[in-house]
Amino acid sequence: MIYDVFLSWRNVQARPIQSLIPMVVMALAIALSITVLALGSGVRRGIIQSSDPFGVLVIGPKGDGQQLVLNTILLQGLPLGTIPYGIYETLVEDPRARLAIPLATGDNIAGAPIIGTTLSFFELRTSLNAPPAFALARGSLFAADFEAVLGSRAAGELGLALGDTFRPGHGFEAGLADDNHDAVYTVVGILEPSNTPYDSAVYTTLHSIWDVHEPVVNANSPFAIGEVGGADGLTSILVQPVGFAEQNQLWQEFYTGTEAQAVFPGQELGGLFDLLRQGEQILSAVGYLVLGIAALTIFLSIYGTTINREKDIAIIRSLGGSRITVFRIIIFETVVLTLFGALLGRLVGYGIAWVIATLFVQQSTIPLPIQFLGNLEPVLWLITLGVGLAAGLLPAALAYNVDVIEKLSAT
Amino acid sequence: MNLRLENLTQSYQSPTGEARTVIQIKEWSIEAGQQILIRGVSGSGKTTLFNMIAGLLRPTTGHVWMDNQSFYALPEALRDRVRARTIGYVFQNHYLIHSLTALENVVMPLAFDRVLPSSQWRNHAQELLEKVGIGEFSRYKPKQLSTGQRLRVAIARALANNPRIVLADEPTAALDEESGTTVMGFLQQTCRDNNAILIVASHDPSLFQRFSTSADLKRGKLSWNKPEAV
Repeated sequence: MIYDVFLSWRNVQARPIQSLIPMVVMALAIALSITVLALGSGVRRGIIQSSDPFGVLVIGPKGDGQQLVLNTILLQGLPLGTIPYGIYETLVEDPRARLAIPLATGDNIAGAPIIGTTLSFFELRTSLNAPPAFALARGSLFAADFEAVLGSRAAGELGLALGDTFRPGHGFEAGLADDNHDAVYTVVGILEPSNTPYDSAVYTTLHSIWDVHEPVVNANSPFAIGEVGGADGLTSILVQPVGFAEQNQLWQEFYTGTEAQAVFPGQELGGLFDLLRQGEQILSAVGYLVLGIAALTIFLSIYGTTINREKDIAIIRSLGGSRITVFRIIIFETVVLTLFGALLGRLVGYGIAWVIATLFVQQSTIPLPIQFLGNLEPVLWLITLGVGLAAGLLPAALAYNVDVIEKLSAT
Repeated sequence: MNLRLENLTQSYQSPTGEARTVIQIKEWSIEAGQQILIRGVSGSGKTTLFNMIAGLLRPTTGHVWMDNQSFYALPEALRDRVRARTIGYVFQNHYLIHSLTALENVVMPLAFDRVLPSSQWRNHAQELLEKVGIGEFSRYKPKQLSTGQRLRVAIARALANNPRIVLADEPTAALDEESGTTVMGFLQQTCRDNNAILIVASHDPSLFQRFSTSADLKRGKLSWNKPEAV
């Protein structure tokens, strides 16, 4: 059996071009599938990873729930509007909420969103026993208005260090210089990476956000840090209920109320994943088509070379090689081409996915981790091997039925 | 091992529908160690006869007996194994595999026979190539070898399994006289050492004196020049 594989390998080596072409086509088919699947899986993983620390309920203005989740958790798109601060005050007192975190946005520094919140934000954890998701790397958390804590990526991209100052820009994207507010922030802390979009954000007090928009409120802020009680609006509130029943009660109350809505991030992101899956299905269909073309190319290549090698096959038979031996040699040859193509395709596929992910992450706040498709790989290998075997069956049957005397007699 | 051909015929249907008998041998027994020269012009049926003895071409009638076993009564897969183990065939056109080196060509019957451990295949093949005088060309592909060198590879390959029957079809056709003498000497001595049957088909007149038994093949029938077998 091993010797048959050796003979197959020699056949492949003896015809480098005829072997390379089907191998490359197979590699392209596999690369396409791997790229699509790895990116799809990376996007899903990135979104799940991003939403991990943020609890199970997001409270925000009435409107598109998906937009609320995308804006609050992934920092994508515009907020739906604002909700009264009183909702947050009520939730803080509500025994059904273990944690309520207000978020107010509206400004940026060089494109990095400035998020007004309370110190409770830094208590967010992926689970009860997990360490805080947003931990300090250097400096301290904000203790006064216009003190800023930078996410790890924001610190790197803005080139700001502890003690540096900056003026915020108005809106959600980097704008013109004269669009800047007069307020000056001082960097007091820098966070460890959390591998969420919030690494690109800058954190400060709620009042800092409100004050730059309504300077009169700023005069003598009566609120202690972490216990704000002003009357300005919030973009959203993250809520971690104490239990499942309480979570459903809260959701029901907001659902029937008129001031705000409560959405489950998991549910909204699930809808997003459904959309993603549809796109993947279309690309997968293209992948299957290319795989079919690869199978056809392998078949044509092996069939052609088998016809050209009928005399060699007859020689093998005349030396004592059985019909099964020559059948196996051809099958192994297709398997060799298929496996090498599949291996090359994987390298290329993961490589392309990694390059796309790297470029994407540079432009986006959402992480896009590319990982080995461990659960899908066995299936992919089986499909590939099946396709290779199917492509080799007819040429192998041709070799099996070679008329030894006729081929040896042929000049 | 003894070889016996019994009522052996091979017939073809001509394009006009007539049956043409190209081999017709009533009885021919060959003892182990015998060396026989078959002479015949092109188209006399030498290769057809060899193919039938080698188990590659089923006779139209009759039997090829190896000791007491009818070769063609064996299932095809078993016949393949017996051929790999028992018969060494030097083809007129050498029939080397061009994608393999000289050494790898010689290894091939060893791999099909599966008696010698695979770890010894290459050494054994190298020894054989050295015995036929082309040890230094073992890594060469057939296209890089001369016709004479290719023949030597084919001989080494035919002898790889120490076969009990060696069939050589025009082994000296492509060689000069000196090389032909050397090659035939090696072939005959090896078969003598192994007590193997050697049947050589050739129309090289210089070979006649090397064989104590020879026959002419004419229109498929053997006529013996020595009275040892009929």
